[in-house]
Amino acid sequence: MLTATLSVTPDEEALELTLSVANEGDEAVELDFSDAQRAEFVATEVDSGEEMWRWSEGRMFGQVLGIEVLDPGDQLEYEVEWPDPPDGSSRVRGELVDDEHQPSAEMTVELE
Amino acid sequence: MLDNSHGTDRRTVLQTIGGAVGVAGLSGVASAADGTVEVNVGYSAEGGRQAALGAAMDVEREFAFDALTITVSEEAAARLSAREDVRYVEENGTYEALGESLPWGIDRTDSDVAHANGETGNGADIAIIDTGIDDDHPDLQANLADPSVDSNHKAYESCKGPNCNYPWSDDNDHGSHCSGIANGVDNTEGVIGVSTQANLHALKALDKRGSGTYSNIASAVQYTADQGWDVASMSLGGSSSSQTLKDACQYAYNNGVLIVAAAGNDGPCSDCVGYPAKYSTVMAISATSCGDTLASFSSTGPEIEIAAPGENVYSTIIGGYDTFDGTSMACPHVSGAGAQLMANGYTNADARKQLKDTAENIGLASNESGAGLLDTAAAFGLSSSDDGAGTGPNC
Repeated sequence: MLTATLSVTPDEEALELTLSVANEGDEAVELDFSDAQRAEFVATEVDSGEEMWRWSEGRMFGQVLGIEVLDPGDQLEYEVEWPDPPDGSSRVRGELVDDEHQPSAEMTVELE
Repeated sequence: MLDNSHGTDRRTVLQTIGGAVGVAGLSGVASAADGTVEVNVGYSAEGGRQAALGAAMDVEREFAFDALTITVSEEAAARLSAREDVRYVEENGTYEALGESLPWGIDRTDSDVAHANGETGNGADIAIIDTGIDDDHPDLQANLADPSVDSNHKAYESCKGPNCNYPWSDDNDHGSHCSGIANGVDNTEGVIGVSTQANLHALKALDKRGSGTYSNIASAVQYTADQGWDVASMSLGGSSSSQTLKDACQYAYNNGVLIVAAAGNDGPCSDCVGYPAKYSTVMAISATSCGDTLASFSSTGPEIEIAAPGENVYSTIIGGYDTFDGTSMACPHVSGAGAQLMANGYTNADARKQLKDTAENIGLASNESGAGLLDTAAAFGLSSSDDGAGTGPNC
């Protein structure tokens, strides 16, 4: 059973986003990936849902299959930087981009 | 992000390899003339330990984990083995340095036939646009362009972690793996590349997590052209196009660079080749498996030009060897072959055409394997009836 948590930390003008994925079940979970990307992060406008920023935009990834094995009680963490978040409210979502489970977490951030 | 771990302890991979050339990993110990053997005995209770000690003519070692190494007669070894409180009795074999093994993809593409006919890629320059290259790897070092010459390698993303002799050193494994496929050193150990004596240039446009920006990748492509190098090998991709990268590829192609890229791992899917493979200036390479099937993960589409081995590919990683899957692995097979041709004076366009004209028909559709499976020997007009997949790693 995978649970995802999203946390944010301000870093000067930028916002650090961390996606944590924990295995709260009794059995190890194998996560399969199609390329080097492990997580995706997206920021959208609270009202319109319009996409403001996507971490993978402007990036390419090594085209090699990958596996992460998450034992019971363990967690994986992925951290990226959102370089220029706007003032006010934004909706932020982090998602593991594995082939099967794709656990995700969202939050609203208020910045000034 | 964590490194690209693959669920297998990489150090144990060495134990499962049977070499097609050279000495395999584990050799049994023959009995001494008097019928004694040296064995490792694991026990599950004190009774087992006492039995082993009682039978031993000599006790070499007692471990902290309920095992010991002893010399016993063969019959005693068999009796111990039958005991309930003895978990195992194994011959104390030796691990010898592995000889050089022939990865199945090198064999299947008849690259070894090309080698036997003196084709080495000597004089060609291959830019590995990737996570860097492990600069002191025994199976790569001799083929690296001189690291003391600054212009030979570049770091668009700086190496991070404990293995960074240079900012362009590999901090992920991916770049080293691709380098070994394209141009692993032909020596008495490890693997061998499609090409064996070309010059490898690390253009580290991918970071420790295996991702890179359009701008850095485009810059690396331009740099390859500006340096006058022959091949740009891009085992990378994405589903969106970048005009900057497209322009860089056009520039490089106009300036004589053979550009080769992984088609993508979105399979099973149709018409799903990623970028930059999808650009007309770039050779899009799909991936096959050991039995000449299309690898299930391989992207397909009209842009596929040829296919190359991409599943269960054994090659160099930081400080060792490992087996990876991906169109990332297929791409450098073609890069190495392209370098071989260009070392013989082919232009980029002629090399591209020759590789396609001589590809082997393996019965896949053209949107799966383009002109067919890479055939390095046929590209040189050499007999490719060898075609073995061999008994090399993973096939």
